[in-house]
Amino acid sequence: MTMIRLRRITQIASLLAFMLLLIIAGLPGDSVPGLADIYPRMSPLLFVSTWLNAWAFPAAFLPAIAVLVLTVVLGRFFCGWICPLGVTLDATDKWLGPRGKRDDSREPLKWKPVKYALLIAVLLAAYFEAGLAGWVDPLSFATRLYALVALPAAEFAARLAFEGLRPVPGLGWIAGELYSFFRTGLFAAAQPQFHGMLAVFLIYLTIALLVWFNRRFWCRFLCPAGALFAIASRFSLVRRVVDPGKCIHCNKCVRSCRTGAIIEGGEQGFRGECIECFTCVSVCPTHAVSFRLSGARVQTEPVNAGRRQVMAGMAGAAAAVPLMRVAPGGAETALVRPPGVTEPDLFLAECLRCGECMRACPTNAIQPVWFQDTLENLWTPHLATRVGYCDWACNKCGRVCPSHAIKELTLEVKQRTVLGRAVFDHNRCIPWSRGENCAVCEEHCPVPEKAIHLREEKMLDDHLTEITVMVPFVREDHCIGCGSCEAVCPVEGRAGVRVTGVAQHVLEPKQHGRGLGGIVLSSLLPASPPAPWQADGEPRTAGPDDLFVLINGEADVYIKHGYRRALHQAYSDPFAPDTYYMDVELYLMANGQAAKGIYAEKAPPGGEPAEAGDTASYTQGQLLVRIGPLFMILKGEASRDDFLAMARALQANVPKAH
Amino acid sequence: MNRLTRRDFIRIAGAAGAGLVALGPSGCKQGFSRTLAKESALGLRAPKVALNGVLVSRGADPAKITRAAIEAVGGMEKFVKKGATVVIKPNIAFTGKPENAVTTNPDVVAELVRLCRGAGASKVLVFDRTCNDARRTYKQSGIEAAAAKAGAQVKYVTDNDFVEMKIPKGKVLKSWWLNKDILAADTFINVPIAKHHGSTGLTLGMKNLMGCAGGERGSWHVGHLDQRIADVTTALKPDLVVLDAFRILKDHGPTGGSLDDVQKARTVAIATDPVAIDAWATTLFGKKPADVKYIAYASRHGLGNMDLNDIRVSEITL
Repeated sequence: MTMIRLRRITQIASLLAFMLLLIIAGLPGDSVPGLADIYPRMSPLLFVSTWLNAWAFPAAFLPAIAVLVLTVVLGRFFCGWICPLGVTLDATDKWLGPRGKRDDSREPLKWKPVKYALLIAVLLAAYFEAGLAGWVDPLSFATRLYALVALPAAEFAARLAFEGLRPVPGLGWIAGELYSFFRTGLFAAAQPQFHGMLAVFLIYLTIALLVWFNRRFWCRFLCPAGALFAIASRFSLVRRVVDPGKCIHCNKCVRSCRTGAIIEGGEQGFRGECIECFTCVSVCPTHAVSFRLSGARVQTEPVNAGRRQVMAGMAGAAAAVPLMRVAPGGAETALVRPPGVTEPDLFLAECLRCGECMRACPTNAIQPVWFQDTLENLWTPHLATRVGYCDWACNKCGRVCPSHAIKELTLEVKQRTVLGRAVFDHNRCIPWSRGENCAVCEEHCPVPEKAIHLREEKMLDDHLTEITVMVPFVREDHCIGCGSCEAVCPVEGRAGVRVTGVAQHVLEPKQHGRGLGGIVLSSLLPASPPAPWQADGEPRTAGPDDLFVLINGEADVYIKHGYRRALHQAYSDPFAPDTYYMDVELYLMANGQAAKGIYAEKAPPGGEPAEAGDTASYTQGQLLVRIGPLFMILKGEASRDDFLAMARALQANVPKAH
Repeated sequence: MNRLTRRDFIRIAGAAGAGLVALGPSGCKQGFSRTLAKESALGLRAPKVALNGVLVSRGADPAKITRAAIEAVGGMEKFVKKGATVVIKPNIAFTGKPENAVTTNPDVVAELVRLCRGAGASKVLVFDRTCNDARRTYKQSGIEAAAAKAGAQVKYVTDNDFVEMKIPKGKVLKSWWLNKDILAADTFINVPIAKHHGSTGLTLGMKNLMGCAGGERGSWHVGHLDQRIADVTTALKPDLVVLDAFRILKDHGPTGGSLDDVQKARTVAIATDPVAIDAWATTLFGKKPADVKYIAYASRHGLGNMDLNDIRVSEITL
């Protein structure tokens, strides 16, 4: 068994393992083996980049540390033996590249490998919390390529083959049984499709076609992980050793070295560039070359790079970081992120853009972002709620994410995690716009108390006859933005109900039941207000989207803290309405935590505690009260006792929480 | 750059082309496959045995009360001949565990499989065309495991299992894709679970027949869901309806989710009249047959009797 044959077998085994793990990640089961995402976690580039980003040691990347340690001992074996992108490139180099004799030592462009500059750029960007690494890391790219392109294409081809064989007598039955097995055991439920999969394919094709310049062009000139490996293998114990007595300086090895690691003459080389493919060993006519433990000095420079690369890298980072904040499509989006993205900025830094979550998502809902938001978001995951929906009984994305950019949530917590809010488009929704009953959205809503409800609405049909239609509306205190409604809406094109992303937050358990979330705010107002107050006009209310109507300019503070609904009621002393008046402002927040947040924000430092609700704070002219998820502001020209009396009257109407 | 020969160019173009072909169509919106063979050998279903009224069986064990109900009407041999192919169609549409009363009780399904095998059936198929991922719903409902253990062939439905059939009695649904296995089977047993439903009020036996239909069922909901349910029943009249009311979903159906909405009614009802059994089942929820429009439309089609005063209800309690 020659080393080359051993290397080929190892490469094929590595690629098969890689593909198998991706297939396993995509299976519908509820448990995902911990190893499913091990390949991205083997990349030392992603390891260092994640470490710099989070400024905390990423334990998930222990495999990468193991690989680095092995590299220090054995040299840059990973690139030649394990890396799935490397294996793919070796294959396409052979199929798509020039046939016959070639000279790989020629450097087509007279500059040194860009990969060192790219490495510096990526690490610098990571330090400034810009997640560049995921775009250019080979394991991330390989995962993206196979998850978004290769595996779906293979599934499609297999489906075509099975369908094609069906009518063939005899063979058709076997095909049917095999297809059954594949569909339930190996494939995704439906043919996976991803936005821009064609573009990812073309990017790979472009890189693969660089073989017309040199073999392993990516590994040699572009791969920043390769650069890291090159630096790490500087002092490797296993080295390429040439027996000077046997070497006849024929330069066969120089010409056949696919990474240009051997210098003219055949004995010296760049140890960091060598990926230990053993080609030089096999072409040497005098068997002068071997790889073994040695301390011999066999190189001129450790890596084929210089100061210029470092400067270029720094310049690249300096240019890239602000560029990433550019939003080519305008930044109007409110992306719906997979459940587990609680801190969006940290997520952007930590996300490897690898596509594991996209492969894992059973409904094909998780799709890569392209240019909908800032460039930084390229290839990060978002829930395309028209394509699929976040399955109620699933929490796979958090489990497969290699860098824990998507936090792993228990199913119970995930079912209370609000990803977005469904909003009806009254111009497209069939009952609202056409006066015909529908309600597929309400049927599919998985929330136990239903986040979509139906109510009777009278409207005129096309013949101006009055008809009664069951129209849907969203219960925003229950909606978790899973997108089931949008995904099943039978309207052609843009759905009649659509999900808009919000900052992810978790509802308290009571919220999904008979807590105060469904409370009608006007029912809190006292039927007979304490003397001398009388209601001044009708209460003014605001829903989730129009708080600005009630509070001019401050609404975003409330929204930031998880605001749901509001009601303002003015009171005055009828005998002196301009002298004594009180405004009661009621805000229903998402939960107790949210109410505490806005209370803390609003409470002035010098306030004295008061006896009302769960907590209350009084300053001259204002009383703040918090009861569970309710936040109240009572303010105006009134005495402390007046405020407290009104607060207690409101409190008396708060139903007992369950 | 190395020299590019014509052969090299063809190889590269071929690879790029293959990639584009594999990705292009697979990247398009997947419509329902239209490559279905027209199989004129299949006709609409017409049951042969008619029971008088509804038999209601009550008790603590779902399998035992199912068996008792079937035996009380003369045994499964009445409906399943030796060597027959049977299709048992439970409700496995949404993800839920048996205690959530979202899917048919697995013990009821398994017992029916055993009874059919006992009557000499050569093949018992169990399947549903689900709304959520079938692999998950089949598993979580417990039906796949229980039915397979009892000797059924549990099947995952594909687009190829449907054929477009005309529905001559259909008022709104004039034709639709219907399940081939059901049309071809010797015996078709409809095994629904009784649940609340936002659109139709309740989902009982006839609503369960939606799982026998291919195509884009979402469009059924637009305007005339109840009429379409009645229409499809004219084409797929089951030989026997076994209504699982062991646990019923009182509210927030059909997806359910909260155990607060589940009530243990400990009942299984059987009938051959699809209208009568659904009409009777409305009483479990404190409703009347007229409250569920598709029952009235089905009655107008002549599919059965919805008058509770006229339906003979026999009860057995274990």
